[in-house]
Amino acid sequence: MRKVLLVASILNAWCFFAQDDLLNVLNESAPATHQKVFATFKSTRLGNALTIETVKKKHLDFRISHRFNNIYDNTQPNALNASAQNFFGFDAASDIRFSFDYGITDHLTVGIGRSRMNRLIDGSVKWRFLEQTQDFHVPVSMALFASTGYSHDHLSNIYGNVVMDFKKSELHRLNYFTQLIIACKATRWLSIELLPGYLYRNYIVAKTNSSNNAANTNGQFTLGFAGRVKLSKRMSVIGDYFYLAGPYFKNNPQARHPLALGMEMETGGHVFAFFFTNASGLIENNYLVGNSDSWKNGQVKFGFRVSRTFNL
Amino acid sequence: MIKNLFVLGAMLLAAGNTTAQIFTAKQGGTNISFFSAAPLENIEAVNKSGSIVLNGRTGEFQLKISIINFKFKSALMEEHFNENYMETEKFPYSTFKGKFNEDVSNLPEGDNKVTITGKLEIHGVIKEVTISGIITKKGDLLTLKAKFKVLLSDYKIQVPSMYVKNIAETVDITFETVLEPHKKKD
Repeated sequence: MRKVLLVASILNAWCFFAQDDLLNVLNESAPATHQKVFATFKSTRLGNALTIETVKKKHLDFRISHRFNNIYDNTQPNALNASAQNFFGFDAASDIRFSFDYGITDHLTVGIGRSRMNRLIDGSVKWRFLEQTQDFHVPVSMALFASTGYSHDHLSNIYGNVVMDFKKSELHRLNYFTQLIIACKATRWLSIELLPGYLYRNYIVAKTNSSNNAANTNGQFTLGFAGRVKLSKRMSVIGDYFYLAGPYFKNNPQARHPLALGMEMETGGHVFAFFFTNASGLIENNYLVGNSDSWKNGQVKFGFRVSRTFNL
Repeated sequence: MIKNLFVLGAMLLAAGNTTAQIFTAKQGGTNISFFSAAPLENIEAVNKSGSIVLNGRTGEFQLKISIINFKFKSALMEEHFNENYMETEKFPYSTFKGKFNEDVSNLPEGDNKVTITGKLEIHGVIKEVTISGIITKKGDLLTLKAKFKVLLSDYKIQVPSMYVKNIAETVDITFETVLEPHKKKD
């Protein structure tokens, strides 16, 4: 009988052996779930470039964007004096924009905005259709962006001094932009993006590149590179650059590639971006083509943006 | 001899039965929430999932939850919680490993006041804590309830000075889970 008890108690003890970690009972070795990344960027835009981020469901993102004039301009006579007189570009605005973006779902954002440059009213859609996972099972996130711009400028401004050997048309006020956004949160502090896009303007004034006689075109392929390096939880260095394909943009002093460099700061519901760029416009339909300003000549503008998100 | 065998069989059954001393969380029975009351806003989030195990014989208790499973009313708050405060990518889990100070192997039906002491890990910082709560026994089921406070600075969760009116220094944690005898899934 005693032996029996002994055997039983040993069995009993054995059952509890190797239970250092009680949680092992739950077989936690089950395959790890592919957790989705969050906050690849803090806002829907970096400097010039769009980010992969969408506005959260039922949130409204209101933003005021401002681009001052050139801080300095090498091409002007007595450049330092000229730039000091207009307080390094602060006296003038090259573009001002108000916009509202609303999250229909966490992955679908619609927006409207109005820019001073070209008196452009725009509507846009951004759809995030692929989400990166933290374990790189899905290595990138992807989104599609499309916008249409309508210029309500005076026709005399739109056609300017062009000899009208064609019919006026309301359609000439429209331009369209489509972009694929490919983003990767490589580490907690580094996020990068590749942005192939296509811009189409219904009406352009014919111009040629003085260095190779290539003409500008209505349609234009663009390729953007963007990145963010986080310095702290709320401060980041941001930058983006757009390459414009085609001979018209090769060494053309009338058509420079936009480059932006700056800082971004997040404070709860607000995101502030401060940066320098040679581009004048605030949205793709305006800033991508037709920049005659160059970093080399000091033709850099200060830009800032304040965004406030409301939970509706 | 036959009697001995019978006793052995009974003891073996009892030994096998000891697995029933292990309790795990019942599906959908867990509710862990935190509440931060500050002058400008109240912040609340709920986590309804977690791995929880109790050894009903020894009183050992362990818990592991995913921080990302805390759900907020505002998705933006949720993002800031994970990105700015909890650093969820760096510290994805919160754990508690402890032991009840009372004997929980033979609790009477109904409410029982208990205390538990153990190591609580939040945001990568481990602290020894003692938490008091109630175990309600009803048949096979044990319902654990506890309310306690967590001082954010204890766990190196920094709140910038400009948000002291938005986020409380101490948050209230409400914990509730229904445990059932563990069934082995084969």
